[in-house]
Amino acid sequence: MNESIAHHPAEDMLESFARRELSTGASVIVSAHLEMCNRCRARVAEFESREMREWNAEPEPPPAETRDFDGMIERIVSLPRQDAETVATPVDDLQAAGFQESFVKDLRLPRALRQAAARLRWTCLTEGIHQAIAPIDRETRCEFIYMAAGASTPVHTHYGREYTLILQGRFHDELGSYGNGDFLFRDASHEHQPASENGCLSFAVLDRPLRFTRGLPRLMNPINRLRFRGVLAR
Amino acid sequence: MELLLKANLPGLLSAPERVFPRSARRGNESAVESGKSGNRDMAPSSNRWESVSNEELLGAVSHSGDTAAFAQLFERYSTRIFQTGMKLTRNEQLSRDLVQETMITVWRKASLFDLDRGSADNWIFTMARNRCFDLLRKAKRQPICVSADDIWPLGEATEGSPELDDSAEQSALMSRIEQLLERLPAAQQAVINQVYVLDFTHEEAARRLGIPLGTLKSRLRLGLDKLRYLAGAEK
Repeated sequence: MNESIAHHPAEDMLESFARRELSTGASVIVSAHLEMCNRCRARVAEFESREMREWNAEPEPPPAETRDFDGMIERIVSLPRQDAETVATPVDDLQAAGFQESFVKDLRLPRALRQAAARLRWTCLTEGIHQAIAPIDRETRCEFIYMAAGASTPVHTHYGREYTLILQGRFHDELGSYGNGDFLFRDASHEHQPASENGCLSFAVLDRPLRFTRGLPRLMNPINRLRFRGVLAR
Repeated sequence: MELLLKANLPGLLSAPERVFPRSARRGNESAVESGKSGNRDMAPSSNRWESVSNEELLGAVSHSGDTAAFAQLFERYSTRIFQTGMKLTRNEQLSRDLVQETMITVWRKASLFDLDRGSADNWIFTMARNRCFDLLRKAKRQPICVSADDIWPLGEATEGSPELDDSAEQSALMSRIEQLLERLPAAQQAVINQVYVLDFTHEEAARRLGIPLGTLKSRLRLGLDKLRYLAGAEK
């Protein structure tokens, strides 16, 4: 699908993903990467089939009286067979979801992001940087970030871990240049300043907020922990 | 070669070795009873689904909402799902809920099961773990804006699935099955053709062939058993 992807989730992250051990936010971003990356999808399939073999190899439990499933079958088959959908209608097109940048007009969102994309509110943080928080879970902070051509964010480092998936376009920082499908990991050991020449849409999952390290934003650090980018925009 | 066959077309060719042992199945009387009582239109005996593959059972649930086939699936999988729940949650109530949630999804979404993309085992196992992920989030009062099924798709129509990418493998497999199929009695070939090639429901296929539904199902079962036997005999 996209053989030029150079940056992938770490091996143990893929394994934790297959074992359903990651937070929802981290699971969502890995899943979105898999949809773009054959290599990692094959790797996860291997972990899944290992799990599957373990499942099949488990010894048969004795029939236990405590496990009284009586009546469960009858209850289930009395339910209608059509699925009652209660969640928001998934959105695979960000423009349809209210994001009016022509940059995203040909983008089709990975499946794992479509539920979250149905309820985005975009805000312009600073010149050329747009952000929309995706309400996915309480353990992480998930957001779409759009950097217009020529935009850059302030230099910052991280208290926790940040995963970024490039959905479309390209950005670079002190460590390299990243394009479609690339999956990046940054933590407190990295200080960086992402910038994009031709525009870039990415999805990011942070387990703690960012900490800016230079200039004015630094003064705001205590508040930044709550809403770093919102504060910056004012 | 036989490994390839098994991996790709479990519904037709895998032996039922992953199914619970017969003794364990008989041990669960309540499921057999419910299966019998819920099954009105066919089944002279409640055991008619016992030797049928998991994939065919899913097919029967999907095509006609067959409650006896569902009861048989419940019997084969519920204990195992419960075990998975205990392993992941260490909580008996949650694990019971997991059995219920998983089997409700099997009942409702059987029609989304796609033979080409993996075995019934795989599908149900993925679903059990997805429901478990959702149940744990609910237990922790986490919001559930994204369903686990969107994060770990159930092998439905996602793009670029590895199984479909390799068309050479697929066509080799198909021609292999065609060869085996020719060694079946014509009546069995006809029903397999109606159901697995032309994709008619059991009811439609029976009508088209002008035979009773029960006859169609038993021919289908015999035919698939024979295919499985032939595939196995090639080892």
